[in-house]
Amino acid sequence: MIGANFLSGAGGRLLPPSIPFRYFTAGVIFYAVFWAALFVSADELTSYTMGGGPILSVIHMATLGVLSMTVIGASLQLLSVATRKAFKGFWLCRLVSWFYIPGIFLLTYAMYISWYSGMLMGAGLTGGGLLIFCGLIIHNIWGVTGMAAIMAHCWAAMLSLMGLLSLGILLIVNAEHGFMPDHFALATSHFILAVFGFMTLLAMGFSYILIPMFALSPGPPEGLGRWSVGCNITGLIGILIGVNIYLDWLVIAGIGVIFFGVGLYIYAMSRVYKARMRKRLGLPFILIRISWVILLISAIWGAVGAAGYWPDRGHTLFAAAAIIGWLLTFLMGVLQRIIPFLASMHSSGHGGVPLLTSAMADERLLTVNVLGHLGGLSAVILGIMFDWDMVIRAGAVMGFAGAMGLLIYLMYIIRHLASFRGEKA
Amino acid sequence: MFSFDRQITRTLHEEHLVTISVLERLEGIFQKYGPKKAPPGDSAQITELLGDIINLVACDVTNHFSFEEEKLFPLLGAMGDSPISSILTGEHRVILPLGSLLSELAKMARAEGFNDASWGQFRERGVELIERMISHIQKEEMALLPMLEDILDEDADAQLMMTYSEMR
Repeated sequence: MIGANFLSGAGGRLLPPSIPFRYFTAGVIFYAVFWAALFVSADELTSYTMGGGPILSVIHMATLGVLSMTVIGASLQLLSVATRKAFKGFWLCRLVSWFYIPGIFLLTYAMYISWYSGMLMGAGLTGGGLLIFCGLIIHNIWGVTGMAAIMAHCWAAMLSLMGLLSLGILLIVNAEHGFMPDHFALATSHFILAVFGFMTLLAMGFSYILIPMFALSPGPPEGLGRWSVGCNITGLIGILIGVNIYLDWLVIAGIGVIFFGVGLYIYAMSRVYKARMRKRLGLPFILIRISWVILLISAIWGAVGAAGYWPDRGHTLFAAAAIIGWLLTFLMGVLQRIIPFLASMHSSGHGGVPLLTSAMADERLLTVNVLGHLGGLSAVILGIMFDWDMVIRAGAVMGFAGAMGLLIYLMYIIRHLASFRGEKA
Repeated sequence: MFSFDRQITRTLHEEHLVTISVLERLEGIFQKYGPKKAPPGDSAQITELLGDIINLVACDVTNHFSFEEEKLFPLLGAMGDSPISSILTGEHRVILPLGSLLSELAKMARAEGFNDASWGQFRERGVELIERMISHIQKEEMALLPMLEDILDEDADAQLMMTYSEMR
């Protein structure tokens, strides 16, 4: 079984709450900023292919600002518990944020106004933070025995992270000086490594821990996870080679292998879901289940594109489905569960009455988040399909409202947690 | 996780299943009847549920918690993993009185039915118990039971099972 013994010794390996919660807070703030920036730049979305400008900035607000930011917070907390190896220096976990958060602000601002020197400085800071994060993760998973599937996901994600960082800096330099022959192939490789290499693999890897935990269900068989990650890594390598040496059949074959890997992952997750002890899993699992469906659709749509059958705006639809539909939707579902869970862990075992998360914050705010996110996603997809700026803008408004719901919820939780720990100190 | 080889972990896991099943039925009733609308006094479904809550608290919850605190947490402490025991014990201190109060309210409701005030109080305490208990079971399933699977041999397992049978 994957993920067994996950919380054993958790009490001793919980990070100080300020570490994961700083990343969650920054991630949710970027989530709101992302929708606001999309509202402002909606008219440029469907015509964008590559290069600097508002849409590049909006994409990185979502990928670096929301997805990677939240993944950093969750990884630092979950891995130290899952591998049963505590991080030795909490200051390094904090140091990541001091580089990473200002770095993204600078990078996305510079992208927005196409300021290349600013992009390089921002990328340097962001990359510095990510390299420290990568070092922390590799140090933590080095030599871990057991949980082979989860560890394979982590290793592949970290290698993808290094690749996408190098390509990202190369893209910025090339955008100004133009020394690389095929900027588009580089940009495509960067996108694939970021969205499917780094973030998707980490999301899938941590699913094997988190979904059974939240659903109170047996973990899936180890073999399923190993086959899935094996297919995904093989497919990813095939796609990257195919894109760069212009072999369409290799790209399609790579997507086919990934489709099989994704299918195995979803089969494993559906087994977990069906075997759950807790039948009522609430709104977060609506988001998570929708995200699994969109992940499959994204893989199919990617194959359609690789075969040359995308209509106009097919690439925009693909990016929106992968980033907003799969990753952001999945992550919002996970965040809605992990925030109260961590708050519960941090408020227990101090000798007082453990805090009740429903008493810390109004849970209707999470409903606002779900409705806003799903409304925003649907409208953005519809707006891209029919090239309707106003519908994309309406979607951005709904998404922003949803993001504010989650942000207010998070602020209430943090305020209660801080005052509770202050009383116990 | 949740695929247990030891008798004692299987038994505790089965008790968790029973507890979750009762709590989910209770949650269903709370969704059906809001905080201000007491359910009818002649509902067989509610009468049966109240009886199950009383049994749950008297048997499963009380014995389960006592056994963990007296027999299992010292084992974990001996192997140096006391933080999770401390977290779980802290939660027991809150859940048990809450469960006892709910059980008392259930006994009164079986005798006299609910009025708006007693229903409001029962519902409020019940919602709290559901949230605390589910979160608690989550921690036990993810931490306590897998750790016991790791550290218990067959003899220790049989011994613990016998002790628990006597306590029940």
